[in-house]
Amino acid sequence: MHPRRGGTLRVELRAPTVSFDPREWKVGSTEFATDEKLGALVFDRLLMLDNYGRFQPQLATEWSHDAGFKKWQFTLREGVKFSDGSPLIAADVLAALEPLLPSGQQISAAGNGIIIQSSAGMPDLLEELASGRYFVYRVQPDGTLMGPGPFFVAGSLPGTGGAGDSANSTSDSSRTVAVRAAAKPAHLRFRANEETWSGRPFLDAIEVTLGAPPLEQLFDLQLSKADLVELSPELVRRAMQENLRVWTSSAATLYGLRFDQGEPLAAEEKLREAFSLSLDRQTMASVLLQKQAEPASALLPQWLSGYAFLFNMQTNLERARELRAALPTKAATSAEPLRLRVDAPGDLPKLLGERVAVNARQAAILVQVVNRGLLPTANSLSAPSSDPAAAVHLFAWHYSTLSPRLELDSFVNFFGLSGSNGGEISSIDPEQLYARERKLLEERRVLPLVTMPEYVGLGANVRDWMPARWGQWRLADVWLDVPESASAKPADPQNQGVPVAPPSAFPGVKP
Amino acid sequence: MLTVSLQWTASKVLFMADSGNSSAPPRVEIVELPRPAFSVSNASSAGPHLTRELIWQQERPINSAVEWDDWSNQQQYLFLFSEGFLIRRRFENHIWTLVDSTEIPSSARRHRLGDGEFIRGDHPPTSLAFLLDGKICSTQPGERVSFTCRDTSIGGKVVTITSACGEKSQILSTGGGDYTQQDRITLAGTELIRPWLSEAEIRTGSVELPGPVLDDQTTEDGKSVTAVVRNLSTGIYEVYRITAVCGN
Amino acid sequence: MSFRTKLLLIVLLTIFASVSVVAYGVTHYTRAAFEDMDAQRTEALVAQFNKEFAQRGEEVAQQVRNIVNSDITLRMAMDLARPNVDQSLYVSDANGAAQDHNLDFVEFVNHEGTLVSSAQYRARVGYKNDWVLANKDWADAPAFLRKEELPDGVELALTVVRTLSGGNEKNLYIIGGRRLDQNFLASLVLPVGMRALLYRNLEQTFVASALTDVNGSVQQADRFQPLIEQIQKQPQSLVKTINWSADAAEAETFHEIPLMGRNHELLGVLLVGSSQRELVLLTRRIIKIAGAVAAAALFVGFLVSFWISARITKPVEDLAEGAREVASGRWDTRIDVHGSDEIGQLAKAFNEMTETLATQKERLVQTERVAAWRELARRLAHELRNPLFPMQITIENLQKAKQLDAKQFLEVFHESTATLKAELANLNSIVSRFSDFSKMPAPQFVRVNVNEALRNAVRLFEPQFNEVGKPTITPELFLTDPLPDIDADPDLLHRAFQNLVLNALDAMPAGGTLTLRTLERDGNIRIEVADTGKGLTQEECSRLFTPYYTTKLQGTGLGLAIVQSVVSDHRGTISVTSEEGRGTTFRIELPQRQVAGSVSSPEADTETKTSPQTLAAASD
Repeated sequence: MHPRRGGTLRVELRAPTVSFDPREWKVGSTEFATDEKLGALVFDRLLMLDNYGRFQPQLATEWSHDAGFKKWQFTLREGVKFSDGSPLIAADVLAALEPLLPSGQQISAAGNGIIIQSSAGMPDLLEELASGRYFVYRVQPDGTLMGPGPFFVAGSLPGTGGAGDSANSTSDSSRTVAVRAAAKPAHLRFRANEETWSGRPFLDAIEVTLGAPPLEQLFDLQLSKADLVELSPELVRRAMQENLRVWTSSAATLYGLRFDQGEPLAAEEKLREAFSLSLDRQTMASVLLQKQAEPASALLPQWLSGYAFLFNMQTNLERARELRAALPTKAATSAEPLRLRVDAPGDLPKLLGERVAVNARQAAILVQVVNRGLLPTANSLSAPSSDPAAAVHLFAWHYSTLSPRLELDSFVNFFGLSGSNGGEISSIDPEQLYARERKLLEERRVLPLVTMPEYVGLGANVRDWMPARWGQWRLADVWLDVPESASAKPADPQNQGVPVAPPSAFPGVKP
Repeated sequence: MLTVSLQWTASKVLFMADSGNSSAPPRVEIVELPRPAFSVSNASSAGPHLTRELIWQQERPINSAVEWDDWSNQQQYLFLFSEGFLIRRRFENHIWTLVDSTEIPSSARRHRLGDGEFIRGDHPPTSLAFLLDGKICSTQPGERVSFTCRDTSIGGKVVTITSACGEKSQILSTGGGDYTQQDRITLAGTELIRPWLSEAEIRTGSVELPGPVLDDQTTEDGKSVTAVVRNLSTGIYEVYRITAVCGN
Repeated sequence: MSFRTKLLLIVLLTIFASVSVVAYGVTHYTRAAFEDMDAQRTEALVAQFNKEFAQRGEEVAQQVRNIVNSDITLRMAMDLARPNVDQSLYVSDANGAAQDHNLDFVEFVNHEGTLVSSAQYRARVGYKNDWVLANKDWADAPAFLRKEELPDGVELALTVVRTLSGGNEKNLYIIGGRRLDQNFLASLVLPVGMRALLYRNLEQTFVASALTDVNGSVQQADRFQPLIEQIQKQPQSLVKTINWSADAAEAETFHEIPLMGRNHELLGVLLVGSSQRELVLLTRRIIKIAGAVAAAALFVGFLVSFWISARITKPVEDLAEGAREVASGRWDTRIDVHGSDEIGQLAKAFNEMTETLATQKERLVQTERVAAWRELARRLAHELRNPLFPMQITIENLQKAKQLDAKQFLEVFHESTATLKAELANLNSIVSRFSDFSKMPAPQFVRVNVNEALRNAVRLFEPQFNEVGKPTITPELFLTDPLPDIDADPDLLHRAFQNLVLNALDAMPAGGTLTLRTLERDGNIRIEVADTGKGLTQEECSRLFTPYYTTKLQGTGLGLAIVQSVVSDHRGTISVTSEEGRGTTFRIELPQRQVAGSVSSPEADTETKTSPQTLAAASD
């Protein structure tokens, strides 16, 4: 069936806040996922990776590299306009990407193109640029951002510019939309960018509700009050039982334990080993999380690294108890339970933390689960500093790049793990990457637990839902299968003034 | 024990060999392969009444395609709309060779899936007709590609096929799925009104395709239909020739 | 202390005592009643708690029954009874069941004792929960208390277990429960002043936060530590009081009731506290009221008893006053008679008595006067007859002598005239003596030394003490020196002393000792004159001072009367003590000062010197 145009896609998201400034996005945080999904509506990347593993041109139409992958040249697409109608030039790309690129990579403009180079080879530069924060945007004088993407933000949001009338009117310097605690969920409205280079999206608008509770999202989907919702893992089975359309991404978030090097108990290597051996990831994923998660033995998921399956973390309670018993007397006789702080927000990490505690108790390691404070400002990776100190932290790490090397670098840098080589571009060579991750895992400063995919619930009339398996949504391709009469009627009176598919004569037509 | 495996990541394929020895650190050999090399066509059987024949495939998107037999100079052409270009290929030595192409003005490139859609022009056909930005345009198949357009209003597009049995031409219809689903082309009878087909009828009078039908168009002789399909398992755009076979 | 004061004190004491007794009684009774009520209320509350407990248990049992009877559960039981079943399918079923059936805790345990699903501690799924296997069939087992392990601690739960067979002799155990916390307490209807606390005994030691009341945490929870620790040691009901502050009204009495688990372990303690405030305040109020009543009663009692005592004692005092006046000689004293009660009758009797006394006194005086006059007449006659008889004889002799010769006649004549003369002189002397007595002069007071006066009197008789041929009289003077001078007439005093010494000498015809003594006593001067004579009889003593009475053969009998007259004129008193065979002692007491003018008209008093009143005064 050929796509139909028109309609408003109603999206509900759990995140209470969203940032439209890629420079502010926290790589690895679960908030990143929402930021990136909504950012993709407004901004575009130089290129994308399609579902068949092929890099597709976006703002860049061609690219080439030297023999050592040290210098890449990208040719920019011609005729690309920002949502305010101004043309995209190489300087824009330069300005946008420069603050985002790792420190070892230099970017420069060269005519109608840009050059990215580095002293080390960058064979994975395309993966890097096709994911993560690498969107092209332009900072406007008032501090707000705009992009050339298929949509622009309308209404109450800090404007990202655009041809629309009201886009700039309410904007202020804030680039983060937040739902205040106990306030009604914030609504964001994205309108189709008529002039986007990739062709006007089929949808007229996308309405995003932030801070929607999971169960409410499910109900809204069932009652057709929403077309696309984030499904929390515990509701997936239920949604499926109720014949709702559920889409599952590949492993998107890693839940793991991190030992705080500052805590004396966490520094005890044998204790960490005993702790690790006590963990029963298989049951955690298959029973406790009802197969909505996968046991994780590696830091990077199989879909990203390709070698994750080589790691194997077996439960060995007997060995764990032996190690525990053989601990130096000081650590062994300590009556103080090991404090495990759940840094990641939500019920699921808490449940995981509790399960870890139950597991560890089998190896005679007393663990006290401490929940993080309720301050909404903290992201999923670090709880507020006011929270009690803990020897072990349960974190959630969201995979944000298609480059395994970059992902591992970000991870290692963020957690300050050994094996980080600073700003240097580490080797892309899979064998070296494997060896590096193996070393990290053997240190046991970080213990992977499970990986969790993203789940999306879809309304019955959502068509051409063709997201990337790793979580990019591509809403510009989506259209709504609604009867002609219904789709002709704008869903929102505000939308009435927006012309739908204005036909016009082409100036370049030959007689 | 040596384990050899092929691992697919988002952008790569890894050919791996590891000595799965748990006691010693395992030795792992990994060879990275370019992903597109493994694009594999997924063939499927044709139906009893309609047959399909893969005549062209490419990675870049195709929004519309049509075959044109130029009886005057015994040439077989394949016209394609792809990424803002109207492309003409000619069948030479069993290969569709690029003859020439012309770019569609950028101001007219408004369709997200790409502009340009072939339609059935005048009968008997003297030129190849297509829709571009709501206008009817035409090009002379035998000449260097260029086109002229005029404002007009046209009705719905009806794709028909005439079987070798010499009966009246029948209407072809595609399924109701979107571009995420495999599609089929079905003989829908002689009436324009889409009939209510039973499951059995669909099976006998239809041909299954490896992905969604992005566009289909009756050739100028009316005996076959050119269908653009995106193969869902490879992501490759494919052009099929659909013909109606009389009897078994 | 006067009678009135005594009466007043008695009345007030009586009032005070009775009010105190009443107040004590009321307080005691109130306390007892309060304690009784307290016990009843506690009992009612405990009964209410037990009922609530049973009811909630029944509710839980009903909900668990509902879970057991639901299709979902039956399907689960049957699925789980199959081999190689995927238990993860049921992980969140307990949550749904808990929500649908309004239970805090729901767990499903398979036939092996493995936790399949848990609403409260999902992280434990897959672990053993095999205590349920202890019972093969839990049907009809009542709700019991249980320590429910939760991710962040331990809770007290009211738990019910049921079993459901899924076939193949494989049971599914359904454990349902509700939290036993302050909400439970909220359902109890508490009388004013009472509160119910729940201690959840989930740790070995006392944990302050485990103690809750309806509103959650309890203030000063650590004060309960000894109470809890005691019941932890020995789980049985007990009663303890906590004094929250020095104020007794802040005290609270706690009844502790242990709540036991299935295995008779102490899982909780219900504390029913009743404030002592009401009791203490009521007691205080009673005491305050009693105090006020006592004060008012004392005041009224004071007034009343004052009035009563005035009513009673006034006549008595009047009587006493009257008696005193009678004693002082006013025989005509009368007192007012009020009413006809005992006091009135007493007053009446007193008046009658004084009247009778006055009448009798008058008669006595008259009788005595007659007797005195008779005595006077007799003595006068006797005195006069003594010289008259010789004169008669002489005159008759003279008349007879006319017949005699002249010489003889002359002789007789001379003899007779001499006799007549002598007898006339004698008569004259007698008359002048009587005349003297009647002419006792009014005293002229000057300062007089009594010792000096006594010595002068004794000196007069010195020749007689050692007179040859007569028995010896030894004078002994014990004179206190110095002795204050007194207001006295020295001549009269001298005469009185002279009479007394003479009297003493007369009393000792056979000799003896005359003792004179002076001393100061009570502001008066006492003079004692004692002899060692034969003494006087009682009868003699009583008549001693009567004029013209004498025990002697000679004498006019006026001596002691004169003494008495002098003493009386000096506002003194004279008394006599005597013992037969031992002697007699006269004792005179004279005031040191005479009131001016008291003797302004001594002449007028002369008559009365001999009056019976003087006698009465002298013989006092």
